[in-house]
Amino acid sequence: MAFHHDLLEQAEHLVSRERKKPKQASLRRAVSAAYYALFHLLVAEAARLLSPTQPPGLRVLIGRAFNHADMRNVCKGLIQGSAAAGRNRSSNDIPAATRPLLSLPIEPALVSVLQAFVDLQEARHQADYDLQKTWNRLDAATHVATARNAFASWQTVRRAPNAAVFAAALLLQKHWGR
Amino acid sequence: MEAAADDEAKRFREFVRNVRLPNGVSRVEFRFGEDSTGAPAVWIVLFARDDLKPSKNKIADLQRVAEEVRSIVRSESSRWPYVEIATE
Repeated sequence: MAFHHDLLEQAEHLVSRERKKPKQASLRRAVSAAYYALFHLLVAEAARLLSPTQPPGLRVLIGRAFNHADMRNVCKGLIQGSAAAGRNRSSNDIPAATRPLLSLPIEPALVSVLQAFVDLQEARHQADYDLQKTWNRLDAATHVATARNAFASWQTVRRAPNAAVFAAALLLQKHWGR
Repeated sequence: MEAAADDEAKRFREFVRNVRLPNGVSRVEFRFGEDSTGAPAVWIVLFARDDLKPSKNKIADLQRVAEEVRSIVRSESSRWPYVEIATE
């Protein structure tokens, strides 16, 4: 099974690991694993799109070039730009080089993947660094379900042209304005 | 400063006044601040009954209402909306 599927399965295991009072460590690691599951799914898919299968190892190196902050910026811009286009407003949140490549508004399934990525990255930050926050199982389980739903949504939209633009933008958009 | 935050919270509560909350969710509150990247953000806090074994349906209901509130907030505010579930 692919690494991202294992991470999602691990998140689901951790979120219900204790039958009664859940340990904070289990809930926090569940949220963190849910984010990394989606992160590695998107990196694997984008690297597959952007690199050949040969030589072995090239795809792995391309995968290592993805950056969490850049990916989040791409997601936020596309969500805002697509929402604006849906209201017949200017989609300026999407960089000029990317905009003409997209059909706007973006498919709802793809928007839900983008939204899940932003949400989960923020939640992961809280889970890993904000020790003042007390997690409850319902909140953590909802984040894990968000990752699971994003996996399903990605499957429905991954072959769409907008998904290809998104996948390439995750790595390259910051260079397209040069 | 505090008064401004109260006004903002009041405005947000007004946005979502007509949202129908699912069973088990008692209220929605808003918390303002910056997210981990320093961007202006709002946390939409759904207050729900504690549940150690939440069903898929319950989680789906929470996600549905979260999405509805998030969509309203996004159209009315430049703050980035995040959703949090608090239990009571």
